[in-house]
Amino acid sequence: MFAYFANPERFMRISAWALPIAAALAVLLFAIGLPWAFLFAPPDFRQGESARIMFVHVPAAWWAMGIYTFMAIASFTGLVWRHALADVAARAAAPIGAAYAALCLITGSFWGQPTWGTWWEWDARLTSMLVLFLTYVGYLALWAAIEDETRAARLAAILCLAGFINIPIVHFSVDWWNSLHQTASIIRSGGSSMDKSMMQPLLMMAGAYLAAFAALLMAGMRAEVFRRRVSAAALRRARAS
Amino acid sequence: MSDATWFDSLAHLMADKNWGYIWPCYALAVATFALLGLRAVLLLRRWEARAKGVEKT
Repeated sequence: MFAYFANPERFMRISAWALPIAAALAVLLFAIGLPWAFLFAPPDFRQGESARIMFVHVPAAWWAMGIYTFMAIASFTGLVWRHALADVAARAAAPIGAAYAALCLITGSFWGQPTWGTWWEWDARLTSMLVLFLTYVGYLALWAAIEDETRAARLAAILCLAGFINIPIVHFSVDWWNSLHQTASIIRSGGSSMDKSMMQPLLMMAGAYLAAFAALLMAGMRAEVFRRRVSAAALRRARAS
Repeated sequence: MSDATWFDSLAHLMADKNWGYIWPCYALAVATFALLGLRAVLLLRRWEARAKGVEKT
């Protein structure tokens, strides 16, 4: 399977039609999910209207972790099997993951002020999510700092895999330590405690974030493949002259 | 979804004491995706055009 998807030509052929489909799906899901979440989902019985922030905050948190997991798998694949597109995929995913993590942190802060009475607290969940954002930034900085792309890919993959230890810490932080942040109410043993009137728009928004990620990832990977073709051609010309 | 029209829902939401915390989150989410999309389109157009230019020469 890896060999099948390792072929850049095949990826370019598949992504040429899959990218517009993913982009259209993201636009459709946002067009339904945003007004549903913003205007028509019921307010929470305890938190009132401020719980609407959940519909943009929670999918950002889920996918900030999900994208990092995707990057760790791609990095592992690149290191072990020298998969031709693995480091391209990890590199293209990083700015999207960083944006999702930043969105999660900022919207969480806006939710924290009316709920907890503070914009920020050095609590386990908030701090580990900040560490995740900083890991994304460090990963991107490492790629930018090293000119030799093979070396950059290897070092960035090692950093990504080392940083993966933070993902279970983010998820379980609310169980392992006393935290201002509520414990898991959706992905937990015993099933979700959320009513379906709130769960449905939340899942719609989560689907929109995922479709947007898929479209942005394919666009980023295609741009990176084109960039490498230009670099390879420039190198060939330089060697010939 | 409730039976309220979008205008009723918006008016009710804007009257809430936490309105000032809610709308910036949605505005930020929309702006984030708009910027990510714009960045992706610009990057893709730029490198696709340059790669096609290289293939021609």
